[in-house]
Amino acid sequence: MEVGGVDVSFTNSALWMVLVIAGATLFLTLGMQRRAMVPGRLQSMAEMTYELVSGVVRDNVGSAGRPYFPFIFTIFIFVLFSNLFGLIPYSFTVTSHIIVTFALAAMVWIGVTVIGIAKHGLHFFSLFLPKGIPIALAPLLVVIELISYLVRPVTLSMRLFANMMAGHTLIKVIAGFVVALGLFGVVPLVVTSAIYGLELLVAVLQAYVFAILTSLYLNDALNLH
Amino acid sequence: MTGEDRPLDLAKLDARLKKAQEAARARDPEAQPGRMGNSFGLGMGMRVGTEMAAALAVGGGIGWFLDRWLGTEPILLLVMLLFGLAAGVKGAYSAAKLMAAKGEDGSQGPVSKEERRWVFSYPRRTRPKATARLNSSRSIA
Repeated sequence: MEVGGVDVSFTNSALWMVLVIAGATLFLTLGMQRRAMVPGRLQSMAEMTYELVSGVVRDNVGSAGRPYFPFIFTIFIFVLFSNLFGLIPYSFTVTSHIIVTFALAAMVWIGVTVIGIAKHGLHFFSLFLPKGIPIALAPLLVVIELISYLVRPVTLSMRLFANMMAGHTLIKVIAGFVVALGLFGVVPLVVTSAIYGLELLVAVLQAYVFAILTSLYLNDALNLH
Repeated sequence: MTGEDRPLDLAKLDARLKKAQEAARARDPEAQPGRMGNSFGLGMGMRVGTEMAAALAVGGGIGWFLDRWLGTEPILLLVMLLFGLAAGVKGAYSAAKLMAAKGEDGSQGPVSKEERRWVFSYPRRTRPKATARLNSSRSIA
């Protein structure tokens, strides 16, 4: 299916993104439906997710980051649910494709740059000149700072993609041994379940890291040096 | 707020929570509720690695494009590779510094104490006191 020369087919990646968003929406709306004073399990899960991200934004950006909390929370919950849904057998991990993570990271990076320029105008570019250095070193350091700024979307997307990709490949390779080894397949079976537990940790951790780095970049743009 | 939550029940629950927390602390005095603990080092270690590699690649890429544009092969590629390496080391250094700052006193980032006090969640009166500490009170569930 093409619209204006762009391929807009509904792929299984798109299907799983829809499922992820539906899952996240269900989790939060069902969780907060009762609004009990003493929360049940689902409600405290929803509240803990909220407080985790609000803590990340508060600790890393401060009160200036308050207006951007909904954006960071949305990114966090999308990445978290993509990673977790990818662990369901026969499912598809949206975040194991670099174009998806790169689109997320580029969105964050462009957004942060635009926010920085809108807030500080041309003064924003003082970000590339570290404070208190001799003027002779400035040309060198500006280039270095510029590169490390341009690298941000690459590292942000690469980390998430590499973690999800590596974990899934490892699980599939080891799971492939289970049938091939016959009776001794018990060993890779045990290893697979152990790695599965580790992958659960990595899935949550990478979403958390993504949220932390997003708020760190936001902090750089909002509070220059 | 629902009608079934009487203040008496809440006081009882608070007492039970406190008991459970003390029990949890006695079991594992090092543990801090609500923190990711050592497992966070896994992500940070990965971060240092990707930081170095990606900075080198981006520096080299910029140099390669500038070379093709200006016709100065291979001078700019080499120069920008060196700059990329420097940026990578700087990135790895700041990542490591961040890791050290977070590990020691639990304070994170450049935020002052006053700023940390505000909480942007629901209004205070409906805010359940118990939620934040539920991590350590699994035994009463």
